[in-house]
Amino acid sequence: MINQFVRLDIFDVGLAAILLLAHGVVSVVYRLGLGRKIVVAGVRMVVQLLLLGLVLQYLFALNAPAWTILLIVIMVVFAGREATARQKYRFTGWWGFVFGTGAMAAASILVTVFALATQFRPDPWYDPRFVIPLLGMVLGNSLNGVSLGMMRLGEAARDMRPAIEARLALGGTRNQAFAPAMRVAMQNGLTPVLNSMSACGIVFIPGMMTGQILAGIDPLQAVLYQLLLMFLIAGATGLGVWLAVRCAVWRLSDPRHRLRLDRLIAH
Amino acid sequence: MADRVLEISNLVAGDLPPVSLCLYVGEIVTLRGPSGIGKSRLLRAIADLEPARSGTIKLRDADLSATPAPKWRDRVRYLAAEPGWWADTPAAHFREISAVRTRLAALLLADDIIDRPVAELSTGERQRLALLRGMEGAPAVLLLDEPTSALDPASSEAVVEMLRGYARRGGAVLLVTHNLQQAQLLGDRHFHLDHAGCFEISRDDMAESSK
Repeated sequence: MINQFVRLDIFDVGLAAILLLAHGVVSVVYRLGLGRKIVVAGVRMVVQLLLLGLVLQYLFALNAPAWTILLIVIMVVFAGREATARQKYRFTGWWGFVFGTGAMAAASILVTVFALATQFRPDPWYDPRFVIPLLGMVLGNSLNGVSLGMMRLGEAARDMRPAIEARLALGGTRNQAFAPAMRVAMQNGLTPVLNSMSACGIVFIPGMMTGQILAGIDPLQAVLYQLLLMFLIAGATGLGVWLAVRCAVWRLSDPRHRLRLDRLIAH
Repeated sequence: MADRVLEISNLVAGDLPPVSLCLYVGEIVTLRGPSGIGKSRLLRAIADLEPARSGTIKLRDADLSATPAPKWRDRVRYLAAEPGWWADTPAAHFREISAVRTRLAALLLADDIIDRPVAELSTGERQRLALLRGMEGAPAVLLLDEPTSALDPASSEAVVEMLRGYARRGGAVLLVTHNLQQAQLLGDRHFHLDHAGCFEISRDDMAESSK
């Protein structure tokens, strides 16, 4: 069955890349000024994915835990950078990066280990052929939620300042005072994953599933894989958003239960 | 000498000069000074909502630094000039709604007001509700920042009456107000705050310094 799939070569892909010209035309016609960005993004994607392919090929052959761990660290750091790069409000110092990266890494690694230990059970358990794709998928998808959750918390802390301080001034603890802000931040962070859970299969066919079906896998097996991944992603996002928002609340307040907006700077 | 409730010694908040001030049981003390000098900041520092650079504050025998912050603020309440609301209706902001309902009329507020959306209330209504909210649970000290700034004369008078009653029952009030007449009418003692420092002044000097 696995032999049925159509092997792609570089020309097939190059042909598809022509479609990117449509972006360029739109950018020129509407003067979006995105021409350069489109080229850069396109080239980045090609280079990054090709590199990843080569690295994975090498790593799978090598099957050495040390190298797998190194790649995991690199993935986590880049995910953290992506999650905290475009924030409207940022924490002073390295805190935002530390929280975003830490929360995402903790949640993703926990969920990946869970999947490895229960569903996949590769031998050896650190087989990079399972670890890297799983972790990559979970990291990449929880990134969005963590990023949104932290951003919304920063905004909420600013917007709700009078309400938060009123609660503190009446003898409330920082957890009580931050509860409404935490609520909107977590709702915001969890919305994308909930949306994609309810929309997938009807509104769009998930990319991973498409890839599997095109590569010749039985559709039902592809669906089961997709479901498993969605649950892993949902779990990691929930955990990651909660952790990141909790840490952010901790940083935006102090042990004397004060609101510390001075630790947040507008970008 | 009357019973001392709050004792502030050499408190430095922001770029204000050191402030020393005492509040005694049953008295209302006014604090006046030029706009932007940092009166709100001083009140916030007394409530520990922002850190003081140095100095000590004691509530009776309890030192601020030795008291958990929520407990301190439960006893020493700061009421901001523009009160914040964290829920949709005023009712959700009170600890005992039935007790509050009986006090609404004293501040010329309608009975159903605490079930209406906060967003639909006038600034003056919100200000009076914030006072009721701040007085719940009988705090030892009230730190009031322009509590009647949005009120008409009748509501203002009602608030003044309520504050007098609170002081009579053993409370102490530190009142920041721009309203000279109110300060003269309500205050037992008066303080003036500017870059030179925080000084107690007589009622007549206060009128003089306002000219």
